[in-house]
Amino acid sequence: MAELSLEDKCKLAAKFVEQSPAGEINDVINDIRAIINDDEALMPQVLPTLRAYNLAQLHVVDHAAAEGVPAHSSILSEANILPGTEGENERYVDAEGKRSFVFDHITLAISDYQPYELPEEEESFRSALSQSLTKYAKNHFPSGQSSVSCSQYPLLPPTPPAPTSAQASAPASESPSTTQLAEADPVAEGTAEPVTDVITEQVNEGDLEPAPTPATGDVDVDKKDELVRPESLDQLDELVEEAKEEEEGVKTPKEGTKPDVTEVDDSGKEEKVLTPPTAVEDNVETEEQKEPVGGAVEERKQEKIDNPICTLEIVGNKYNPNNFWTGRWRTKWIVDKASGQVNGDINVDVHYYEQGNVQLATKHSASFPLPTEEVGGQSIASQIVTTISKIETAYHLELNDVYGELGDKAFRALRRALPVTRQKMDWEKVTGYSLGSDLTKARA
Amino acid sequence: MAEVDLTFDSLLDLLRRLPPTRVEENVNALCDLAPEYADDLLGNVDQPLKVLADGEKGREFLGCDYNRDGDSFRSPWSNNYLPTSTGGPVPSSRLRELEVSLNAAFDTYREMYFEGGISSVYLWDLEDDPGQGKEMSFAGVVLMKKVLSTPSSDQPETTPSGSWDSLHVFECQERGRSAKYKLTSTVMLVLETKTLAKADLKGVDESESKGKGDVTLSGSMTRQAEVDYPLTNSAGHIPNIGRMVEDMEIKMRNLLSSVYFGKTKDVINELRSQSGLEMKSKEDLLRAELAGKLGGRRA
Repeated sequence: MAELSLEDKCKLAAKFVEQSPAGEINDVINDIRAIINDDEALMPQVLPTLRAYNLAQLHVVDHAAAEGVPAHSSILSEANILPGTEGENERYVDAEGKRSFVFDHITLAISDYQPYELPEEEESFRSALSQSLTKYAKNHFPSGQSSVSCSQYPLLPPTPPAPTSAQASAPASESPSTTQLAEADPVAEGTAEPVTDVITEQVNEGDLEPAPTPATGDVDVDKKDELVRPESLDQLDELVEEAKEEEEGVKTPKEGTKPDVTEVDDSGKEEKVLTPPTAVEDNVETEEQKEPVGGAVEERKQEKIDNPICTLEIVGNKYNPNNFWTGRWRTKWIVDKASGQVNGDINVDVHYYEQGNVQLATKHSASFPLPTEEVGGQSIASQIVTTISKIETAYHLELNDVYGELGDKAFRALRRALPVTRQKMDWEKVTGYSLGSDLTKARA
Repeated sequence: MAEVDLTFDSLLDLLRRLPPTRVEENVNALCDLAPEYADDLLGNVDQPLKVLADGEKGREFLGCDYNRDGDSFRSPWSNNYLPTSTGGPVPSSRLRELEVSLNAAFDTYREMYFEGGISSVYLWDLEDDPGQGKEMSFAGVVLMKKVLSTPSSDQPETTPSGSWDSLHVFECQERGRSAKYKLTSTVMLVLETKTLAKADLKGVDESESKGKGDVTLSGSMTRQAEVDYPLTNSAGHIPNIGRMVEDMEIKMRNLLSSVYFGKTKDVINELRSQSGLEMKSKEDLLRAELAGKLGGRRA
């Protein structure tokens, strides 16, 4: 058998990340690092699997107190990826802090906070869900973190007063230490300080201050074509106008725009076919306009999707390595207005590893119809969370019953605690017994 | 050398953390990652026992690393390597005689405790020149396996399924009128069932509210023991080994019961509070109050 190439070995090793039990990701990564013994080759392969792990396992990130925002935590998940960002530019939403940020999955460093604001309609529903869910999570999950996200595109960031001041403020948004962290060799970083599940003060205070203005003057502005960089206030007003109009579903010709802005229809706007409601993510109406003014600066209009989905997530972690156990309860409920359903997945994982390796892995899916109106003064958001709470409680009860079922029936069916005689074997007489095979025949 | 051991430790540490249900796949991957440790890994990591057929004797037997030669396994019933004869090692004739008796004895044991399943016992000589010395020194493994198949269509959906695999590896050294046995036992247990919890909503059509899930409890545990038993003749090994394995399996079954059903259940209830923390703190307050009153009365 030919030996695998180093690259293939690294890819194979990186796959183990996905199987890591709750709270043991660092142990698993350190093991595969010791086995491969070449961080430089390994870590680039680990990065994508670690990212997938953090998103699937609802990694909790802590945010220090900043201007007007008390210290709090948020969850990393697929649902919390800032709409319209991907790859190198991927950002995550901290809905409570009304910010988005960049996350380094290897160093666990947070950087480049930027304002995040949903349109009013979505935000009011999202925050109502969030309030109810937080209450539920606090009451039932001793170490629970909850999050509610909305797949709608956020509103365009406010325009800086003037390009010059934006230029001046740009460096403030990325303090030297952030840059260092972001650019630091992930391998060296990882070697010096093993990744931890809990974010320590890896980012200095300065980084946590949200930049007063969006970094229009960013050096890599051309790379960030996903983010709209309006040139001036009046343009922003137009954009907001348009956004409002779109929200109302009114398509108005952009007659009020400056002469140098080309007509939407002439600019090759793609008329997307309305996809079935389940494929909401694809149902994006994009209106792009190339703006000759300002040279390289690319302009994009407010994007919007119909029937955005809201995702409610809770993660409850308990790690007790001193007593050789860890556990995680994950909950993810998707409110889909288009289909009129709320669909949920609950996962419970427990690892007990004192002189052994015992794991509980559960996955349960449930769904219920989306409430359509207030009932007895209870809002739709509150009704949704109440039903979620009822299902999770029923599931929790069922799990406890499952233990009885497995312990009493299945375990005994596999191996009895004692033979039917209620006595241990008489080994002295065993040769005198008719042999097992005869017993089997006799029974049959 | 120290570095070499570190790699091996990491391989074993990884397998202690990764899901037991995927041990075979993971051991194979680790053998590809560190081929120089492949033999050590296969010899040190217990994997579910293979079920093989001895066509000649019309019986099934169990395969593990201890009766393996290449891709073939020695059958305890015919003493042949199957499916293809390899000319692999077989026990000396007097040890084979003991092996045949032990297989018969553990077949009875299997029927009494497992009421089904498959058992196999394999012995191998530890002496260079077996059969010459008066005192025997040998090693062996007792294997037990039982599988509860997934529920058939006429059974309730939530009927549990699972499997039990146990390996009892021992070394025996005869010493005059007694024998010393060193035992290492591993039990691999998998239990699976379905869950059906769903919303019970007023005024909502039953069919609109769904719930379906899987629960898997899996794992392995290893324990060791050392015992000295009197030995009058070589047939005396049968009750000695029998008792030793029986005691260990009873102990481990209790342990598994408390860990599988006790410990993991406790952790779930640590993760989520069923009654709600508000309720719990009220109860705690009430309890403290009661305790205070009772304390007051006593004083």
